[in-house]
Amino acid sequence: MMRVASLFLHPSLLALGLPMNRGQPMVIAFHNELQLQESLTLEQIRAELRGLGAALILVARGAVFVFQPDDEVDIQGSNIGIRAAAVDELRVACGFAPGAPAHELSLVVLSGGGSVVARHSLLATDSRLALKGLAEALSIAGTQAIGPHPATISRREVVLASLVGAFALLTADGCRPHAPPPSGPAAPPVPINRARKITLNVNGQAHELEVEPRVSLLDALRERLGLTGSKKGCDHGQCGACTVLVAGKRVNACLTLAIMVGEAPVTTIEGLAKGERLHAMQAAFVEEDALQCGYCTPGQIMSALGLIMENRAHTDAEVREHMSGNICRCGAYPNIVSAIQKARLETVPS
Amino acid sequence: MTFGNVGRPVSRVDGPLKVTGKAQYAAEIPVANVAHAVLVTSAVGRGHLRSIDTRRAEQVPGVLHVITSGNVPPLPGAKKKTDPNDRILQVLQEDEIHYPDQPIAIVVASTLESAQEAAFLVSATYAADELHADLMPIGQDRYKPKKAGPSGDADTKRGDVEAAVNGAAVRIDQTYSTPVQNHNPMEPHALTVVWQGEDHVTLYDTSQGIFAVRKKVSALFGIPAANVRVISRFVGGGFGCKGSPWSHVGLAAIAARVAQRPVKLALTRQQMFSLVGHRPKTIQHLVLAADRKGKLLAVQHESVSETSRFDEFVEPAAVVTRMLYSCPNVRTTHRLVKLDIPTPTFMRAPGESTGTFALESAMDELAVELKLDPLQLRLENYAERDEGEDKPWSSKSLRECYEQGAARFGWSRRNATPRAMRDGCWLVGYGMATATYPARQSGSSAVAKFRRDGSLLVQAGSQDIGTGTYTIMAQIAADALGVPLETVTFELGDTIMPETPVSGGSQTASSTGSAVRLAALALREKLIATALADPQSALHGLKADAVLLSGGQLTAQGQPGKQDSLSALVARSGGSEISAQISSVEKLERAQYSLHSFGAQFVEVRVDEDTAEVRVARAVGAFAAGKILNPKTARSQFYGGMVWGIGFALEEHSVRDARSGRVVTRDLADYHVPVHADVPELVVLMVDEHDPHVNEIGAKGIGEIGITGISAAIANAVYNATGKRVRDLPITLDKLI
Amino acid sequence: MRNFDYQKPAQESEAIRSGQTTGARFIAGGTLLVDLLRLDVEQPELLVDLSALPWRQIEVAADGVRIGALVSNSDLAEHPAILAGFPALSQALLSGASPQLRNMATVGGNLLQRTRCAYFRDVAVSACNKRKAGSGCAALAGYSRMHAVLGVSDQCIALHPSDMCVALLAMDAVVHTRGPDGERSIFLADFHTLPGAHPEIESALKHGELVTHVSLPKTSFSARSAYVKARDRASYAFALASSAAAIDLDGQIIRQARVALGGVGTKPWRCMEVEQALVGRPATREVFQAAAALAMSDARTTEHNGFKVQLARRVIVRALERVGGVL
Repeated sequence: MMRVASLFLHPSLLALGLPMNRGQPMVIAFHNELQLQESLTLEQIRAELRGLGAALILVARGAVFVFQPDDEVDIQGSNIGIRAAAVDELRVACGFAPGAPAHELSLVVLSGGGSVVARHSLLATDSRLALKGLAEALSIAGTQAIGPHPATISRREVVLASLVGAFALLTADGCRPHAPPPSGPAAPPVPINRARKITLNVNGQAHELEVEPRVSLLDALRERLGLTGSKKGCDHGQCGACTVLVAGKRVNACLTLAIMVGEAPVTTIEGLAKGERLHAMQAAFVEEDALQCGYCTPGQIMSALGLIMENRAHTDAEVREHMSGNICRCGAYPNIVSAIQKARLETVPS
Repeated sequence: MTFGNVGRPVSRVDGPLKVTGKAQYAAEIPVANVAHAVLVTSAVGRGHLRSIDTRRAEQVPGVLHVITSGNVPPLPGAKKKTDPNDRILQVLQEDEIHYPDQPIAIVVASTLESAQEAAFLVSATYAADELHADLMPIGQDRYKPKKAGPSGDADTKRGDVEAAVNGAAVRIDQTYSTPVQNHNPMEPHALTVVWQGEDHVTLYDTSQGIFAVRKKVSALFGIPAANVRVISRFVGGGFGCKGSPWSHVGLAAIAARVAQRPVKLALTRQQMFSLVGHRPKTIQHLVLAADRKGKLLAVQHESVSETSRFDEFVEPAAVVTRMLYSCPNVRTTHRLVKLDIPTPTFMRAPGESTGTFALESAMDELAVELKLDPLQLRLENYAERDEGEDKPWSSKSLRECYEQGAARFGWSRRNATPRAMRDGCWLVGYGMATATYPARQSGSSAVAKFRRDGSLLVQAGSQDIGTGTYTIMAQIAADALGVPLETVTFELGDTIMPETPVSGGSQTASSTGSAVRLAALALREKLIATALADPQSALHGLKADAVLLSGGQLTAQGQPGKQDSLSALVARSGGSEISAQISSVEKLERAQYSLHSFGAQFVEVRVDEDTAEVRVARAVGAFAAGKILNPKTARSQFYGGMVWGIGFALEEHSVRDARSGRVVTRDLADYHVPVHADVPELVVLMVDEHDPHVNEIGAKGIGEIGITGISAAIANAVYNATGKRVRDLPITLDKLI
Repeated sequence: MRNFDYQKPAQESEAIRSGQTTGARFIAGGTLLVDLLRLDVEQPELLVDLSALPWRQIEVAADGVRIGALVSNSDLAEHPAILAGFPALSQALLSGASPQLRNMATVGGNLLQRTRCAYFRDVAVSACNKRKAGSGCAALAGYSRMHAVLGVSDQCIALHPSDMCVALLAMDAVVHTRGPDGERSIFLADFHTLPGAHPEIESALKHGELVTHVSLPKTSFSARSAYVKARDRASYAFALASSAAAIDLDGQIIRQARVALGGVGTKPWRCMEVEQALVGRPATREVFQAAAALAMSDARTTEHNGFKVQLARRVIVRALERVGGVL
């Protein structure tokens, strides 16, 4: 364990004159080839940085970059030249040996107070692997920083937790303060863990989850699986924004308990397009301008697919009646009907 | 194709993101380990919080914090308004209860379910006082506000109304009312807050005005505005209720600060009825006086609306009466009554929607009284200039709207006698009304960057609330610079971009569109100047006016061989881009004119003879709103306005319990907005109009005019069908049976 | 919502056993229960998921139709035997909720649909006898435009919102149950209870007792039936008043009639006085109007829902016209 009063005040860091926010947590990463490129991994890194509230200080060959989670990857503006000697000083300050080994990704996570919360090194032979390593390491650091697991955890979190043992974690005063124990009389009874392991089959992919029985399919999709295409408009089955197909039938995901879905295949808006190629219904919605703000749109599209598979509504009037479970507050209704009638020809009921 | 993007029905550029579910809204921004917050709100509507017990809530597994007035950090900026359109927030700084469902606590937990459960377990006791939550026709203290909305004085007067009324052959003297309505965008208000250090914060908010949010958060926490970043790339509908930050924004930011963790907060649908503003109830007294031919001799329009006890919002319902018709004697007044309610706010066409219902219903009553065709009555009183402002119109094509709309609708087939037209058990009625909305413009700014890869990136803070901003800005920029539309990217929704006004008042195309055009033109000049000054350019030394820019190529006029490409130019400059940023101001000549869009709404309703159910069977709206930048997205805006008109006339009503003040119709099953089956085929006619004065791009704004006039047209059609005049909206079957 | 445990029994007996537990609630489609859980109106400790039970069959026999309790509203509405033999039921189902909800909601659940009373649904309102016996009724002097006018008491005026039950009532449906004490068959007319002094009790069902199926007898009138619903918007809205009507005609003369009302009662409401006035009379609008005028004589209205008296009579006439060949 090592303690540094505040790494922020370390001369080697101060000397760089980085544009830093007061008290902002920071991730300092050393890697000679690492370059930020738009990719899913970078999206993960952004999410982790947001979670930590941190900036990423990337020390690459001869330069230092400061990257905030919503910056564009083109961060040359904040590129600050750095001498090799200064890199070594900074490495030492962060607890690493001087002289960056080839392909080594070394990183520390500093708390808002400037102390080291976590430190990690790994080998990454190229930029892509280094990015992945960074994302993974940040994920573990982030999970550690918030303390014990929430009652409901995703499989991803379980995997991360199992990795934690292998992760060199430095805590003590650097850790974020936890909530003070609740005021009040007796300590609470030991809570019953009602969470169950379930497998949700979403868009042809099986997802293992641990959820309490009270978790809705909608919240499982949005908050656990990151499938935010299904929208929450009312949470009471009164608007249709959450419409998904379960076993081929349209349902309100907000009123469906995830645990009750069982093995039934779930299709969400994310499961329609084939790569960049839009499903005929999606393309028709764009072409007919069957959307404005877009928030009801995934539900409208899923409902429209359900309607076509039911093979019941054919005239415009029938379509209107059988789409009435999907509210569009922007009032795109006339164009939605047009889009459905147009896509019907290309969407064969199965 | 390089030129001529403006005016083309280009498909929404953000369409593919929205139809695939990839467009990320405020509660969907990936944030690792984000904590979830849920608001606890007051059961009573007036009084004060006596005690609040959070112990059971704190014992729920996963709960991190329960913040109440007892442990909330003090916020010095909580009571201040940052500008007239800002609202006073309730962010746990006091125990006084001003309205039902006022926030009294915020629960933060590691899962949404834990936070929701804990919120139910916070228990409070109150000292409740008697309250008044309904605007009444009589018996309440009314006061005169300083202004009636952004457009002018509370009261106006021209001529001598009393004398003209007394001498008139025909008079209409009626009172109309419009109910409390809630915006109910499909996306409930939500935000994710990430503190990045002690005094820097990023809010992923769903907002029509990100710069207003920045200002408010800066004021609340006493930190520089530059330290507050607000990001709002997609907004799931706004209609006014996302135009200013509300209490939950401050509360989420507090929660994230206390929890020292990013926090996500989404309001429940039920909370949307109390925490984010509403359209206030209005009671409007109209007096019309005319001669036998239908020439208006006097109009008096007195509007009373509700506001909260602690803040002020005026629904400027009588403003429209000042300009819509030619009339020598006009008096308009606005009064307010303070009630124990949350503060009302702008809602799609504030003033014009409510005001045209009353005025255009009264005009219909006058036409009935005169046995005159309602359209003829309007033509009799056509205003050739704005008599209220005493200014000429910058442009006005209302006559064309009447003509084209009437022809398309088949207005001449109307039988003026109520109950004369039938179809089976349906009574059929035709109605019409005039639509109008001001053509506003505010100062705005934008930056245009031509990049080495040949693409044009244009940025302006702004917001796209579903209106098509992403799309039309790209069209405007492409044409102004002379590059293909496919090479243009327009970005918005981030306060690190140039500052723009709120997306409200139908002014984004006008304001930010002008800024985008000017920025692209400035960039064009800069690019040409760079080429002319560059010895390596084939165009070196030429005069600027001898150079053409088209398709991303610079060409010497008359010398097609002399060319330079913009990307080569940028490459030679050594940088990654050449950019130009401008700030635009309101176009100067606007001051000389009265600037408005106009339209005509024609509606056929069917009223079931037995059950009195009313359905709109078809509607035609003809609108003249200057240059139509994109007919495809514009048509959608007009449709949207007309659909809102159907809800306004027939369905929407937020009912408050008289004793508790709580909204009784607090979800989408009890607060009806139109569903698919309520909306028949709608016809939108976009009447060609050229307006050189209104702004740089000639567009007047189209987001709100569609909802004006139409509720009156529906009410007038219901009269034509049934012989019953309903003067208090909505027209539900119980008022007809 | 509160936390609860969850069981998914594979056997009926197991379900009945689990259902005996204190704080246990059965769940099928979930459209009703999850809604109320989220509002904190319902706080069960255990949900017993019935979806594994084999009650999804619609069996057609010579003497009628037997409908499993887990049959979805959509499947029931679209079933050929229902469309042909019990059109009012199909129409009632299709007039309710939305396609999504109809795909989820079951026959058993729909029988037990809870009221939409806004005061019942808002737990910040303390006075609700249905939620908490003896706490009072906020609706009595509150906003009651949607509330019941028939079968009301001083303790409760909550409306029974089901469309399906109104049609079932007119079809002489029987509800079949199984519980710890064995099986029971209950006429639909006896299944729902009036609020009286105990609005918290809504049906004849006992704790832990399950609806297994509903049977529809083949009658001379069911095939000639219709459902008419008046509402505030064209679709996806609860009834302000609705009527299921069925008649058996001998030439132009009405041999038998069934008339039931929805949207007006604290339970689905059968109008025997109207039925009696129809029998033996010709199927004309005048006869329908005269008979319908007899309905609603016991209505107890509030300042907001007086219109339902007229409206109910008119939907009766409209429904009769549909089946009487007048329209």
